[in-house]
Amino acid sequence: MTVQLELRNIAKSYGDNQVLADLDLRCRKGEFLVILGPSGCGKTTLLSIISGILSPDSGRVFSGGRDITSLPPEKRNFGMVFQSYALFPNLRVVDNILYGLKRSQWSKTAALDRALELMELTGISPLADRYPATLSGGQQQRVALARALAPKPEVLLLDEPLSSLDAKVRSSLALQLRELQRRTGVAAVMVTHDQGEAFSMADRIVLLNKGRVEQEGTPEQLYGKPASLFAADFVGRMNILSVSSINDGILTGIRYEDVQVSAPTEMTLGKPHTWVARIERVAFMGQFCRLELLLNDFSTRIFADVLFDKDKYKEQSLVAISLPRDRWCHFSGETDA
Amino acid sequence: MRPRPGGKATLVLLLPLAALLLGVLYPAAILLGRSMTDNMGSAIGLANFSAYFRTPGLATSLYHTLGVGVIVAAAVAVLAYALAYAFTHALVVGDRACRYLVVLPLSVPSVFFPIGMIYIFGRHGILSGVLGVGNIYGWSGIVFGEIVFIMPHATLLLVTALCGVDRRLYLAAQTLGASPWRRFRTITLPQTRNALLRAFLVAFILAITDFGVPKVLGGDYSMLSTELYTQIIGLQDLGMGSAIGVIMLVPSLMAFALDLWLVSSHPGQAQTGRYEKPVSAGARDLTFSLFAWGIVTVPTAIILAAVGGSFVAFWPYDLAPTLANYRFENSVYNIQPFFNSLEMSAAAAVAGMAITFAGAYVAVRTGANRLLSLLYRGMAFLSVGIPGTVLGLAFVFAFNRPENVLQLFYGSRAFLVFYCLIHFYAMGHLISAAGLASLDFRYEDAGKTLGVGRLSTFFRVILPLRFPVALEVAFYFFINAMTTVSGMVFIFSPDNAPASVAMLHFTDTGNYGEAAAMGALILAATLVARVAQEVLARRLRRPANRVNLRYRQ
Repeated sequence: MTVQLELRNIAKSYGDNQVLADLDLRCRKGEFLVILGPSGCGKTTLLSIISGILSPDSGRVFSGGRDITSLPPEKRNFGMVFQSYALFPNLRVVDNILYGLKRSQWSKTAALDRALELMELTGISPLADRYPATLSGGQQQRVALARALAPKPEVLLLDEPLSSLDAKVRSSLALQLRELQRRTGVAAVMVTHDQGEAFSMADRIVLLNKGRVEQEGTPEQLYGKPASLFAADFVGRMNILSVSSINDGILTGIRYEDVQVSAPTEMTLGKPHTWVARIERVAFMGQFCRLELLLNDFSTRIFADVLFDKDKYKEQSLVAISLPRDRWCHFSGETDA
Repeated sequence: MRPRPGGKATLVLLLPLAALLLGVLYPAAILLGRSMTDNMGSAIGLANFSAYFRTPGLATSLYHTLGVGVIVAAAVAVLAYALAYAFTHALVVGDRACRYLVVLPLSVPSVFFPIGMIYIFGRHGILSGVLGVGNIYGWSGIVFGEIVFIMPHATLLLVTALCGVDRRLYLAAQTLGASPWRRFRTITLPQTRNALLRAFLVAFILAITDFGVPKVLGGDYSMLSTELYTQIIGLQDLGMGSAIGVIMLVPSLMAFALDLWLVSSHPGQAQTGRYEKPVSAGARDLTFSLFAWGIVTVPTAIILAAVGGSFVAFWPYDLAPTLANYRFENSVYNIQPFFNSLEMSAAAAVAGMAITFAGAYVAVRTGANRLLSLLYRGMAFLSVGIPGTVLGLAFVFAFNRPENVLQLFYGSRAFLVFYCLIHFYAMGHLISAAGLASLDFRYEDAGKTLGVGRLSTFFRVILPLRFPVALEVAFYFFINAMTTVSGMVFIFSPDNAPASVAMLHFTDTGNYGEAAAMGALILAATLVARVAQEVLARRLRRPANRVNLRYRQ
């Protein structure tokens, strides 16, 4: 697929504080790219540079092969959905959506048709005459999305678009947002700190840490094969072990749910990479329970997420735990988490 | 979150409420009654009013005043909006210095500007030949002087409003391809339209009630305020004077009501955006810098000219430098009015701060009786609807009467302080209330859960956190008491004449040098107070009273 958006060697500093360092990024046509990272990782700065609100200290930005680094936001034709939506409070919903449809490019009827089409798509047609202040958060979010998509942008930018909604609205809107993006075929770049959101929506994720790309890939790649301790820790939960009998003492990760717990019989203990451990604590987590286990070297602690079973897992009882080799994660060139 | 009821706190409201009723409603009622009696005190209905409109010389003063008011208000609103826009939406070169110069005119009485204007544009002024302005007495002088005097009031209001425009809306509009002009038309203007109207109204009220500028520059162009002065002080026609007072009150109250409606009826425009400095843009910043500095040059030059004039023997004939003007030999009071003003203003500052802060605390942060706090807030706000000139006149009628026990108090220094408190109450209350409302309302509850009473939380948490606000209120009272002219001319007594009134008397007798010297002293005093306020506020920002956390051995 052809590349829609490309960033090359982007750097940005505020005084001595380097926010982005020599960063490259590509987003293909029709792709949903998520930039994921903790707060302060530079992801908002990155999005501002893509939109043209900020200009980078060095590096270039391309859209459809055209160098747009020096273009101001109003000349880029990128749609943007803001965290706070930033709807114009003095304009009705329909006028908000019409705002970006320039007279020079859209006739009056064409613009109105386009606005109606988008309200239809986002399911806000009944709200056309309302003012933003009278809408719920979810409704405002749809208006913001319709407004951003109306001028047929080359790229849709989303700045934590779901973070100010409550949990239930959030998950249903996430699906609708993804569906809409797929249908319009617009390339989308979303910024978020919520890994669940990133996993459920992204074609590809770029994990950002301290202004650098820590890892990029599909959600499955990021979860299954985290490339660094940071990635392992930020995405899901993982045991980080340094035990001589595993991998010659090299730091090795294994996800909580990949730890297999069974009764300590001769058969189970005969399997490779299996040890005896004592259950120190059982924490009820809803659909599953989390066991805190002490290995028989009396120093290594391992967490395991297992299906809840009151009789099977008792505190202070002994169990066999297996750490399947195909689930091990290795990290290159890192010693601290 | 609504604060929980606190019964005893309500009692604190009773004293300021009583003062407001006594200082606003009572005098206004007396004035209204007085306007319908003749000089002997017998009721004559609306005879004073019909006489006013039948006397050609008098009636024209109303049309003059309204005309000047509209022109001045329109000019001020447009100029101040552009100036406020420059400070908030562009990067002005020397921003801090320029902002100080914008508010500099607040530090002197309105009567100071005509003096500076005479020195610059008058018949023998520095620029009289260059500009060909010629006669500054009359309409053009009044309009120009009032614009200079009123600009900072409107600018402050508009800067606040323009700061409140949500920056994110501009970004959203930019990503949708809107040009700068379109962003201004669709975002900036709609969101600040009310503030613009309010600036117009504030300017209008100030322009139709100010006394200092027309008194000196009016010439034979009659204005309501100067006419009022002539009727009361010159002709001793109290009936006609009070009728003019009522006539002046009507447009003021109408503008006040409109303002109130604007503030209360559009909560949808409540702005939540956090202000961020705009990014630099060469051409735009240069244009606005030139404009802003061009604008502030005018009042600054006028003030400098007046200050300069106070140090020469006799402008423009004898330019020998001298301090003779500061001996104030042409007045029986000498320099005493300056000290009177200092004392009065300091007292007004302390009392005003204590009363408005305590009142606002009870009204905003405690569950005081709702009806009572509503009444209190209403009264506090209403005090701004009565212009100083009218209030001063009403004070004369209300308190200088043998049948009123408070006559003993009339003319005393405490009486002048009382007048200042009432006249400037509204802003003092608004500053305090805004500062107190922006503090987390759970502090008192947190205190209670720790077993600490409300009063203790007030002194240990609320007051320290908001002391800069209290200081600001004190400074506001001080600077305004130092510079107020309009009402003072009616209520001062010879043994406590304030400096601003002394200035007026010097201009009356043609001693502009001494008037300028008195004005320069007022300017110096308010600048010192300003520095003191900033230094104190800065010092308090440092964490104080930290407990030593090291264990004692």
